[in-house]
Amino acid sequence: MTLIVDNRTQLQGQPGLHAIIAGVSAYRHLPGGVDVLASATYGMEQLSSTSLTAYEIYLWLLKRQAHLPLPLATVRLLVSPSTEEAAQIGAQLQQLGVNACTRQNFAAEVKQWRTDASSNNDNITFFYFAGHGIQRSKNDGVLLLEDFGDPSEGTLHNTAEIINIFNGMAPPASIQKKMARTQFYFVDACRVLPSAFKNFEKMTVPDIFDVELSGADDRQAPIFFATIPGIKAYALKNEQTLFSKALLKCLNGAAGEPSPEDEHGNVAWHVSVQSLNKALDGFFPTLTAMPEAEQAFSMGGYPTGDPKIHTLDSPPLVEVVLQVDPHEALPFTRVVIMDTDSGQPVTSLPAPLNPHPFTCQVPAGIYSINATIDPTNPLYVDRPGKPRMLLPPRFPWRRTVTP
Amino acid sequence: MTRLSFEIKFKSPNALTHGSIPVEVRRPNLTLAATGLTSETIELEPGSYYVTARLPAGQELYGQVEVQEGLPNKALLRPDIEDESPHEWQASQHYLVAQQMNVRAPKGMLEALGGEPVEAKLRCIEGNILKEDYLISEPENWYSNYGDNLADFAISGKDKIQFAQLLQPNWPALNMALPAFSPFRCRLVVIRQPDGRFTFDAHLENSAADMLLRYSQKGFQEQSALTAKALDAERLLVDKAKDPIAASVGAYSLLRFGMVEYMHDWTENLRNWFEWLPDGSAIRGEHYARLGQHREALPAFLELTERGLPLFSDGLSYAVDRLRVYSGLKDFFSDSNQQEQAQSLLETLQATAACTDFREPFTTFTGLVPHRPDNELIEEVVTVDDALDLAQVFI
Repeated sequence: MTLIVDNRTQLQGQPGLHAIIAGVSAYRHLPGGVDVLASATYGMEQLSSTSLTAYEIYLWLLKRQAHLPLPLATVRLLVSPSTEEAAQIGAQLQQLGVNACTRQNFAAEVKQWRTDASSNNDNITFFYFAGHGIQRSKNDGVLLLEDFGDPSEGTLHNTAEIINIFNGMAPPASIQKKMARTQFYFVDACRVLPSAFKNFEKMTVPDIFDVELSGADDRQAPIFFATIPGIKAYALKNEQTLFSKALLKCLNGAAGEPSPEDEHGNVAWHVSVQSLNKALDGFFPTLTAMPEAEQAFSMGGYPTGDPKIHTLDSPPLVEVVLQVDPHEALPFTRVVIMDTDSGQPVTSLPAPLNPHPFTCQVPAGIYSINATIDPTNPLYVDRPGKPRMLLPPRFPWRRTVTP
Repeated sequence: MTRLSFEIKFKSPNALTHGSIPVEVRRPNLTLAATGLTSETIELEPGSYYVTARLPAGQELYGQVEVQEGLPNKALLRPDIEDESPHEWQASQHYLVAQQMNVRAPKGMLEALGGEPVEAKLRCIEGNILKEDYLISEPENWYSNYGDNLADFAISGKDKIQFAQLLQPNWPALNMALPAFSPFRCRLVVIRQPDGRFTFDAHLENSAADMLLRYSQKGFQEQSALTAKALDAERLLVDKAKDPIAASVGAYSLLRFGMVEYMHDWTENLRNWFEWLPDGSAIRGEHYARLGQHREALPAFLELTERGLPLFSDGLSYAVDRLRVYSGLKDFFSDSNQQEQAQSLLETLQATAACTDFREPFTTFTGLVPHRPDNELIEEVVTVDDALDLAQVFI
């Protein structure tokens, strides 16, 4: 059984959020797998963190379900963990009764997920896949499932096409039929087309959903791709993927955006599709703390409107990175972050800044950041700051103190 | 309520100074008070506001303003000095495309004696690559400006689709569609990266469309919607100065953000009035498909055979995705001829898509022979004739 959260009865037909999460680390037919080696492996190897990632995403949904835009109605989880991952989360997965992410299981669960999504136009869906993937076009890719490369089948037999799933979730042509109009997709996989595949661009992927022509497509349905087309996605071995690390950081506040004031003048903070896009687009390397990884995020699908994804408990923190230019001026430069309301410094900064650049965190707000030359030095000048909004996730501040 | 206008100040004026840049206006508690364009005025309650405009390359223009009832209120927006463009002529590249352009050794470190060797060439491809009906030649009259490892070429439009081909050793030949068609020009920017490799990018003559393209490429819906409003793609088709390429940018942005309700029927005009433009067909086809009118979408996509590869990678992507779906349908095609045509076009487009860099807004793919895309590395560029030697530019 893979339906590990089922609140449909309690919801009594009211709209809810229906999630399907899949993570594949152990590939049966790739080197080191438990089955016959694929006739061609295209340089792909076993993974060690994508099942952990899928499990982390499930835990996050569970923990934050009261802060989602709709009650959590269903969660389906499919994982194919590596031996190391099984040692970490195997017992929990067994207790939940989670199935392996084979093509057959994946197809069956995606179909059930669609059935649930089609119970109400106001439903929200949540799709997350972590594993190997390849690119087909700007909006399409192929997700490789546990039994990918089975020599007794076609090369791409045990895979799934993103575009087929996305099109299969389109509003039906008949207006009598319903379908969730808000759909969030997260594809945490590579988007490179291995050169060997280029000779097989006509290779077909078996459809999960029968090809059916959609009606007018008025969905809010962004696809958050872990990386940009042509670039690999990466993961921290035995931990989690870089994309999931950035995503969870964003969902927990780094992509926070203030909601309009309520009648009491209070301001709540939330994460929406657009705030998530901005944070991931602008700050992916720093969110993952792996600036050297050649990976960047991109958004596809239909990112219409700006639906909320998550409500935060409190105003988020902003990472402020302070840098003085030129480096030789550092011993003479004192940097202060002032709260514009109180006129007081908000945090104690070392003088000179050490390490340099210096990183600190302050609550989102309005501040002025001043650079003062102390002791005075004829080569350098003060750079008083003007009030600036510091919004998450990050505010890089660099000041040149030469005249 | 009172009105707030905006003024942009760069160190030196550039194309963005009087442009329509999307702005956010926030209250001191950081809640969003309004969004708008710097070319317009915004209605606000009196009070204190913080205004920011995020440029596509990531820089921020900002300003603070006290809005007072009954007085003319203007917010002055500036970038930090550290974020200014090094030269006026580099402003488009600097503010619109996040890219490292300068290669300077840090002070106190070794300095280079003499320039770096340049071994790269540019060629021009004109015609329909899909039909193998094209010519490759040395670019003529590509006026260039050079500085800081960046060359900026002004390219005149012709009555044919043009691609630029970049050749350099140990890299595949790179072909990029140029958004120029008579009478509209475009700019091609060739950059020498810190590792010595050359890359290129193009800019549309219409600066609003160019900015929209960059916002849209990054998925910035708010900024794209506002810039699309300023661009007014529908008007670009009917005015005296018709600019269907800029209009295509507007259409792709609306498609990308699912704002099909703003597209009305003008995409049909884009398709019919500019028969040379492949993107008119791809846009109309995708527009029909979004409306659920798939039988009307197919003939539009099939026109690509005659028109050629779309200039924009979104168009190529839409065509491949839709034709792949349609090819799997039973009883969809009007006759076997249509089915064969669709299959043949899909195979050709898929071959190109397999070598396409979908990060780029303009269709960009690899292959020395454009109608046979591949990833073969170029060994020596000196053997390639009919090409502009970049050594003459990157002096």
